[in-house]
Amino acid sequence: MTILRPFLLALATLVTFTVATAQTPGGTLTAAWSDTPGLDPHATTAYNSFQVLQQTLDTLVELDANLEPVPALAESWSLSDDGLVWTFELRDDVTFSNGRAFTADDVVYTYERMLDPDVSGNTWRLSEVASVEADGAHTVRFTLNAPNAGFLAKLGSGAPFGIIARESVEAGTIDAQGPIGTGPFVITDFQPGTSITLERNDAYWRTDADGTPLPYLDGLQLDIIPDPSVKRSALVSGDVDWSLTVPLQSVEELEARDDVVVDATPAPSYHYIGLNTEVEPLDDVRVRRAIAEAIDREQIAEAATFGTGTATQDPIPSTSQWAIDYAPYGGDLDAARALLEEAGVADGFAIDLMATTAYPEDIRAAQVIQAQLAPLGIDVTIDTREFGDWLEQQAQGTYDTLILSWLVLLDPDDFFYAQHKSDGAFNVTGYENETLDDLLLRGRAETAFPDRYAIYEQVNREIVRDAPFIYLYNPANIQAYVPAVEGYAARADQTIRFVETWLND
Amino acid sequence: MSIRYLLRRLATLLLVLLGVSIVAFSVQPLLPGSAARVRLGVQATDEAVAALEARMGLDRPLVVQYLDWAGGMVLRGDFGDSMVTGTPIRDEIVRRVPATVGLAFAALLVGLAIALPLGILSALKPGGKRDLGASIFSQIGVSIPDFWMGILFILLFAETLGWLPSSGYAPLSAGLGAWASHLVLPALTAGLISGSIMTRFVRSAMLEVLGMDYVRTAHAKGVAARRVLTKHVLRNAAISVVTIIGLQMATLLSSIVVIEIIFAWPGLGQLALNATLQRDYPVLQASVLMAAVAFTVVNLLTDLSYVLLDPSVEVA
Amino acid sequence: MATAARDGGASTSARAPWRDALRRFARHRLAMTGAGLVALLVFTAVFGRAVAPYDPLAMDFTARFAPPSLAHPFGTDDFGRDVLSRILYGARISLQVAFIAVGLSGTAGVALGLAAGYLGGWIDELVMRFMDVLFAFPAVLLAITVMAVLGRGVGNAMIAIAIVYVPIFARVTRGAVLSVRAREYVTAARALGSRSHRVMLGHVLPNAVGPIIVQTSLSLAFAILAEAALSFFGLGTQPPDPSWGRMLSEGRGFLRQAPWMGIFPGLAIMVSVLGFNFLGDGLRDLLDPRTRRR
Repeated sequence: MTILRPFLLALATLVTFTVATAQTPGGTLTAAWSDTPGLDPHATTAYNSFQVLQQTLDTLVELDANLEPVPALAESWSLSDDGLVWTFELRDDVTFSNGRAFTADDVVYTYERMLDPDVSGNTWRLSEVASVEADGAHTVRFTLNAPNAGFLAKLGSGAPFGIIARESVEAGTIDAQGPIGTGPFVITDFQPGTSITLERNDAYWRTDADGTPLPYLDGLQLDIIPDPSVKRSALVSGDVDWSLTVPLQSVEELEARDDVVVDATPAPSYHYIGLNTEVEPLDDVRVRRAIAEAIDREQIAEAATFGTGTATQDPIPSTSQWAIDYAPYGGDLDAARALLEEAGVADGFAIDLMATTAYPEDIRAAQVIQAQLAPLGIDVTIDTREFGDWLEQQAQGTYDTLILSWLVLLDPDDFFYAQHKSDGAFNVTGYENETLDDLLLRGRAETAFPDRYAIYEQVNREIVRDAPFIYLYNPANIQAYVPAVEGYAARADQTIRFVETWLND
Repeated sequence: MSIRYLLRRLATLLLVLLGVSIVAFSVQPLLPGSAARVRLGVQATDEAVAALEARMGLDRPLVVQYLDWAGGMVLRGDFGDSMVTGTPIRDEIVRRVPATVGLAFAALLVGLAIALPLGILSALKPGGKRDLGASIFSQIGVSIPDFWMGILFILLFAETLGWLPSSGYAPLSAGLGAWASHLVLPALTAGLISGSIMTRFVRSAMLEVLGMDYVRTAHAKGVAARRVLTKHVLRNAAISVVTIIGLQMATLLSSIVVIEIIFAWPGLGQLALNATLQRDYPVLQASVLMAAVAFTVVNLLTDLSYVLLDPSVEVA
Repeated sequence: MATAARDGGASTSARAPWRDALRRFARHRLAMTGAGLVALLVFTAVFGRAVAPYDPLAMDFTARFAPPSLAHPFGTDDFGRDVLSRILYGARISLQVAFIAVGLSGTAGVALGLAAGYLGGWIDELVMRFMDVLFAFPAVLLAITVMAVLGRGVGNAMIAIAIVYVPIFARVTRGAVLSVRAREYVTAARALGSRSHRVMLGHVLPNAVGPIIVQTSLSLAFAILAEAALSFFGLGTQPPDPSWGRMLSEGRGFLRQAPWMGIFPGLAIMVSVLGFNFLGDGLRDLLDPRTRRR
């Protein structure tokens, strides 16, 4: 796997620089960025927006390299015996970038706003929270509806959970300037579709091991360059120091260059085909299994990601501690034909496969799937749509099959609950399974790792066998930068952090 | 030029602008997919979408929405807020107009720098070697897709040679050098294409003038060829060229949309395309409208200057 | 109106110019080159599928990014599909899009232009103002917006391109009609009491046909480019169908690894556009009395 090598290299650098190298503070990092739909972390649900907000907001906890929660704005925490009440003790030395001290009220304000359906498109993210209360200035208490083992890690999974100050909302500047946060950088100029300028937050609360204030950088200049090949050109020609993505087909070429560092980690994400279980003949589990059996995921991953992704039959990547690696399908065309015959569609049938232009790699995968299903007599028509249109069709269930990805899933609950529970917020396939519903609820409540793992083993098996989703591959999280960029590493949770990054030139 | 003609042209202009605004507005009810859902994203629930739609006023009758929209623009210069970023569209447009206008003018200059010499040279000796060369150049220029040319230029000038930035925009406030170096590649791409088209127009305009009686007379009277060229032919051809420039704006604006995308150029075209992709219809409406208004006004100015330059044109 | 001159709102002069025109056509180098290229194109569109060495959709994962060779004269693409076969198949798609789109816009535009030019008065005003409205939108933007409304796909791409070119046809036709209408035989036919649609079809249209033919040929060239531009935005043909525009826009991501993926469809587009342009320009020389003078 070409991905592992840079990953290990990156880990090695990470270890090295914290030990030895002297960091040079100062300088502005110029980055090739993607378009950012909006800066209100509660109104937007766009991943691209959170990647920017990550630079300006902090969360109560953060995830370390093993995706374990570690302290951030919260110094410590405890869970009540019934598993329902989480109590966080907050740092008392943190100020917002406008100079005001950070307190428990801000946490309450942030999460109440996030849970307000009139403002927020993100209420579903905290559906298990019954209430958030401050107890004094530096203690905050979350009460849950039901125990949830993934709750703590969730609060640390990036900018959607970042703490904001009420001032920017009340002044009405949150859309144009972003929220006021406690994070390492402050947005000073936002030009939608063009650029975002950030300056270092001089009041930032973190220092490095030597006591040098963080961040090292004076600022970030994020240039919006939508086209991946142009991003690549900008990086190679030295117009930018760092690029959010590179075209997947260029990874090999870029790795061979010595003026570019390709930094890749396996991403906690998966690409899948969703099958509408309410249309014929996909309502028959044998037909869905036949498709799952017939496709060649290695080919799909190769064609879609040029070897940067890893073919898989179940959603959790093998690098996760929750990896299950259940692979019942063998790519046997005869077995697939037998299943179709049993289901009474031996002569095949025609279906649409809905893909969105927002993700070209899915369109590439769709073409391979189309070719692979043709020998079974399954006539696949690829239906590409604008993302907005795609979402609408998905929401209304007016599709046969669709292809997309789920990104940044950390807890096993993230991989299954919303997508497959009968009343899951994003169950768009119409799949219903009582056994599974029950397992999913137990999975949330269970806290002991081995017992919890056993539950998700069963969940995983149910889904892979019933195939409302057919999993294709786990992608890699790939960034590239010039060698002068130091102290940066692509992270397993896909957050982008420049806190300890500096420019060595 | 009579006042009456001017008034008539202005009345027509207003009528066309009304039509343009109706067409631009009608994009919103016609577009499939819900803007609210795009705003809320892949993980939004149906209830949240419906609530947002109601808050955005999308549940009102279309006529009310149109009047509200058009009224806001005309009376208060208010284009509404972007549905995606929540920021005022007017600011966005004000910010982007200089980028697009700058690029359009630079491209037009490049185009004229190509078209005038080539067109004149080839018209002086139609069928000659220079004519053939110019013709081949302009035909090839016209037949290369603009996005393709842009990508090839990025590869050559930015990546391989490293002479120019690969993409992006620097405002004049960032310094003349930065501004110009970012401008060169997109302007060259758009300019080569419009120059190729204009070469053909210039050539035929020149041919027409060269064929006119008074030029022949001048020649017959023994006026030196160079003087005939500068004094009579070029001046008269200039009238046609002004027209051509006006007409060329249509093609130019169109290819600038594509070029803005390739070069990550923050102009109106990019704004409109992004708005289409994101279903941000207030922005789409406003940017499409602005492009159309700009074109209509340029067209009017061309017509008027045509009349001013050439008194023989009948104003009917 | 000055804009009528955009793409040659010229008039024909001779009453029965056809035989004469054919003879001159055969002697006109530019026109003949164009006709030759267009013939080649049509031939490819009709017979290309029969002579294609491979199935254009057949993937071969053992032969991805193969450079041009005897087995694959134009190389293979990122799925190991044969680029030559795809271009041969794509000829029909690209040409179909161009012909149908121009056919649609020509029909609508000519009808509107005829009505406006011949009937005059408020109909003229109404039609032409509406054309002004359509014409005011930058072509690519209008096409993209129409596609956004209608959805993707070849059929809708044709409609989008057609809508963009309607105003041009309407203007060219109207301009030609106005100049023909002024002539005596039309006035005479009218005086003799012919009904207006018969006058229009019987006298005006045949005499206005020159500029329309020229415009058709030039529009075909632009339609091929427009399809490429729409495909560039992912709006044209749906994968895996190989239209040239789609191949070109897919090839741009592979300019370093496999330049042949973009070069050959690019050349195919260029050659066809050149063909239609040559033909159009040649025809203009032949049919337009102003340029014929030289």
